[in-house]
Amino acid sequence: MSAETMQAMVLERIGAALEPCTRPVPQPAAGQVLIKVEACAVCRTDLHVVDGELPDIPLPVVPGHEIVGRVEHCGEGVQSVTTGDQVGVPWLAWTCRQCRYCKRGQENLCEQARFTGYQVDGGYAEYVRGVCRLRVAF
Amino acid sequence: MRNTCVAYADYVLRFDEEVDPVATAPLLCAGLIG
Repeated sequence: MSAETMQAMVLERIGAALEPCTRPVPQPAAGQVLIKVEACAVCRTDLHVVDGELPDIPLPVVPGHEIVGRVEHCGEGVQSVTTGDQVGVPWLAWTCRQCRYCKRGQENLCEQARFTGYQVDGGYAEYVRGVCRLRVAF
Repeated sequence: MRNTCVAYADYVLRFDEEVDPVATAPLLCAGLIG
């Protein structure tokens, strides 16, 4: 049975220090997985988020986009990973898969892309939710 | 590590081999892996 709450480091105000907060553990929707974070590195881009140097930062947000953890729970329809799998979550969190860039395999240029730890809560927490569409094996 | 670019189609990357989380996490940025 998963925990109902978790500890997370949250950016409440631009330029402020991250605050330790108790938050509900996110629930994975269809196509998503819940990941128990093992490690989350600090990137310069996280500092850009904290300093407000990226546009339209939705606050509060949990930064952190270099995440390694283990799948705790799979949402409906997820077949590419299973509970206990060790996984990574990168900067790119979601793309539209419809635009000219996505169709060319340049999803990193998607104009509607969402990014982990910026527009989607990231890994400075005990758990993070990730979108799981395809599997890439290392 | 293989598949260094197509992983942009993916948002959760499964490791087929056990990795050191602390050593691996920084590599997930900017497409160094994934």
